[in-house]
Amino acid sequence: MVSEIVVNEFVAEAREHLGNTECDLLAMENCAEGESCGVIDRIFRSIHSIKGGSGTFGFPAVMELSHAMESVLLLFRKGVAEPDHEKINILLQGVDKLKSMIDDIHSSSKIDCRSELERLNAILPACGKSGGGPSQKELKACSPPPGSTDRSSPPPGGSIKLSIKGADHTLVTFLPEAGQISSALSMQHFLFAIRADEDFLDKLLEFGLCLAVSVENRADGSCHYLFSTILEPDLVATALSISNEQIQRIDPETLRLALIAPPLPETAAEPEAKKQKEKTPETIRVNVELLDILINLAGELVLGRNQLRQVLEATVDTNPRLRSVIQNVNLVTSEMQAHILQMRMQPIRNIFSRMHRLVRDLCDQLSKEVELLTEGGQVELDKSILEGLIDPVVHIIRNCVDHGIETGEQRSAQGKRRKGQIRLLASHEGGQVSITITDDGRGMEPEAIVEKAVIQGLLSPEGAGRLSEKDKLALIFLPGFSTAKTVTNVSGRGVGMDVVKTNVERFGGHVEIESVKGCGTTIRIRIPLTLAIISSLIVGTADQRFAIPQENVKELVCIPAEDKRRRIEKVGVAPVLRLREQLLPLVRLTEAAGLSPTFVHPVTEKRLPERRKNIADRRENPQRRDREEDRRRSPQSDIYVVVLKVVGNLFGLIVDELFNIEEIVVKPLSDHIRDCRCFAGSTIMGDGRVAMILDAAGIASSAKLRFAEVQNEQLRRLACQSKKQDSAVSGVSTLIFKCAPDEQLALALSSITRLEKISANGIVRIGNRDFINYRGKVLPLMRLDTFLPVSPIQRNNEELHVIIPKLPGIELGILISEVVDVVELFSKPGKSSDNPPGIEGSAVIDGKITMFLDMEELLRIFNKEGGLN
Amino acid sequence: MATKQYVTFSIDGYLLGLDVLRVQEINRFLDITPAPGAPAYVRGLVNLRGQTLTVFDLGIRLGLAARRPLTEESHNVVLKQQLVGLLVDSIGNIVQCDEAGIEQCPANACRIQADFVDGVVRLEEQLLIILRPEKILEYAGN
Repeated sequence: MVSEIVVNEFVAEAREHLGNTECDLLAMENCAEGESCGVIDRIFRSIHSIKGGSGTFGFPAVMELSHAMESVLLLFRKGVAEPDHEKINILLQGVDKLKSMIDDIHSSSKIDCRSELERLNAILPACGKSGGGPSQKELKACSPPPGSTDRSSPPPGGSIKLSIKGADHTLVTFLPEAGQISSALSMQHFLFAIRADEDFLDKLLEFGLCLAVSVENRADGSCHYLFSTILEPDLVATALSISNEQIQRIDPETLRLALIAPPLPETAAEPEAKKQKEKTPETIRVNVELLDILINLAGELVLGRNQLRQVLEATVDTNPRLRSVIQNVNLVTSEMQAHILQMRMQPIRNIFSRMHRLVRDLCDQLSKEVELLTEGGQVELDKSILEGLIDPVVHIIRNCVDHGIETGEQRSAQGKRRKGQIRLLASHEGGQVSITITDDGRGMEPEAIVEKAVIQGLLSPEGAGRLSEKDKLALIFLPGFSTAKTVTNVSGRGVGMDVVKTNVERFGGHVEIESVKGCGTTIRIRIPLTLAIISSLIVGTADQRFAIPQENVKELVCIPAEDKRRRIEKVGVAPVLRLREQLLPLVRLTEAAGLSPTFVHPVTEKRLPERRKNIADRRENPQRRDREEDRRRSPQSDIYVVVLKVVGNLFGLIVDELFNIEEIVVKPLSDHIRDCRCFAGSTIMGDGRVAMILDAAGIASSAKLRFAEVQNEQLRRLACQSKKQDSAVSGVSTLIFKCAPDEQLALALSSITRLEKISANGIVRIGNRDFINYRGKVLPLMRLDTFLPVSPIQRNNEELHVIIPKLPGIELGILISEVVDVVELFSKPGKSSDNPPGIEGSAVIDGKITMFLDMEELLRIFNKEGGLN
Repeated sequence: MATKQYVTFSIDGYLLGLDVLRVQEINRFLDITPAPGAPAYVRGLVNLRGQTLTVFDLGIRLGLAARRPLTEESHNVVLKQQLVGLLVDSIGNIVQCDEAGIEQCPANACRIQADFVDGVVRLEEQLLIILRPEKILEYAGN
């Protein structure tokens, strides 16, 4: 039994071969005739080594299928058949099947590959070949010993020239690859020069390998084949059913000599092969676990280097050679770490190559014509991110082909190129990788999306009106959303774009979408280079540094010391910052992190404990405030606010110092620190110290920020402002007041002369009527509760107000308990026939039902009842 | 008879020990970054060659006073199971003793909570109190 390790090696190698084959097949289809030669050879070699390996290790099903594929490839190679779309399809299906067999190699025989075999064999011209499994003899002949495959035997010196006496005693010349000859020799194969017709090759390949065809052209159309086989010399003629005259055995010694001879100068075909070699540098397979260990060790080495440097810093001047040694170690360490980190990185090309296949298959299914252009395949990403990206990109490309790109007819009708185009582009963008997928299809209609979202119940019609163009497009990321008019088996079930978004966001990435109707759609994915490294703003407070992930940071604001009072206000007890007409709740990092606040004394530059309670506080002692060197006015007292965003809300974090933006490596927190809600993790800074990573959401919740309260205040202010602006047009100033605490009443300001504050003691009651002394006159007072169905003024009110109406000739005051506000009203209060006399109507002001008084009616009643005049 | 080796260290004059096999290393990485909001016994985090090590103030953890200020003798005893270091006053010898020599901790032996103590060993000069790392590592937050 073959050892499992060797089989695993074979499986890994076969996967690689199949991967390459898939790309090559797609490339072959696209490249012009004549260019495909090298590609076919490459495919042929890949499939051939799979066949060889599977034969050796005893996986007959794999061998059978690869054999059939090989036969078809041979037709291409000989130019008998053209690699057209249909044939490539069949080969690709074969590749797929082989892949699934390789994935489960031990039960590969149970996988049914009959349909693939049938289709492959159908391609083979009717030359009588049954296309069945390869003979046992061939099995032996073409199976290289374990470990020796195509890869291990690249021609060391290219081609060699081999001139020998042929079967017809003339001199024949072969130009075989040196590597093949040497491996044939090492495997103890027998080599023959066989004279035969041109189409004899198939027969030869059943029993061994044909290493070369003679250079000379013969008049009778025959040629010599350099044939390598495991068959004994006396069996060859029988096996090939040819006469012994056609066979000339080649002495191994001749071959060895030929191998030693200097290699041929490069022929025309050679540079192509050379280029290929340069493109794919040698690789070895390494366990990912091993890589991770290396990465950790490299980290430790860097820190050890840092410490060494710090320790040696003091003594570096005593020994002049020390500095250069340190520098050297320094350089080597950094470089090594960079390279080790790079080992986990893989080119994004690995994903891109899959997409070619995807697009091709989709086009076939949907009968559309689409070409996929890729760019930036060399951009590298962490392995795990790369794997996670496959699904989102597949989804997007599917959508592009299915929904985005129109059918050929539609495109022609619109004057577009018949063949649709999808561009897949990767690039570095400041520590992030950006992947852009652009199609030139029909684009998206924001209105249609909104309509669909409303119909599907994902959005309220009112909500729709508030959305910006970009927000409307972003609706497609809602779970369950789909605009496809028909559900195809490709896409349209409404699971897709939300998956894209969640997948991408899991890696700390973002998805954006842009679309122009009729011209196409662009989807941009931005993702960090590696999972564990995030770009962070480093801030300091109370002598400690903290890292804030950059994606949480909206902006940085500096409030100069002298502006503090103006810019920082309070809503309730919470400090807020006024930032461009927006109110931001403020949190001090020291408080959130539970540190004792400090400040730097401007003169002594010492860090001292802070005694102020409020950020905006300044000295209240006027004499001291006048001192010019008031330190709280000095630049050191400027306030730095980091504006953070947490799920749609913004708040300001007050920090003492701002440092730079750094790429930090996230280290998880131990269980014992998990419940500090303010921290998302820890990291190690360049100097080797640990810094905590702040969690914006955690800070907001632990500081008990009441976003709603601040928002309400802001809305109220905005409303006031807009009212003020609008009042210039048509507002009615209205006084809102109360007699009893729960009842709100209103009067148009235009019907009021004055509003007076009086003391309850000043009211003189005579009979059932009240009077006050108002500017030396006796002013009768009206209590509203005596005429209207309203509650009376509470007795314990010491301070009251009197409204003096603006009615000519009438001296009277209306007694009220409290003035609420003066507001601008734009609508008339709602009237109803069952309003009691004296009440004009009602309206809701600031969320409260407010009764509007009818001043004239009120006076009429008052006069009637009281008979004043 | 099986013998065991113990790493010994002192806190407030007590000689304490941990099974050598449970200790990863002893170091003086004492540039501790506080972790505000964590349970009181968590002194903070230090950089242990690229990993963050949570440092416990073993004094507070055992119900004694905090280790403040740190001295030239202060050390971290790093445990194996979790990345946790225990801040101690000073490090003693490795002590070898028979498992049979381990006695139950007398109730009045020390002010350390009995849960933390695995047993005691009578050395020539002093009583060695053997601690249970599992108990120390148990989460004891709010």
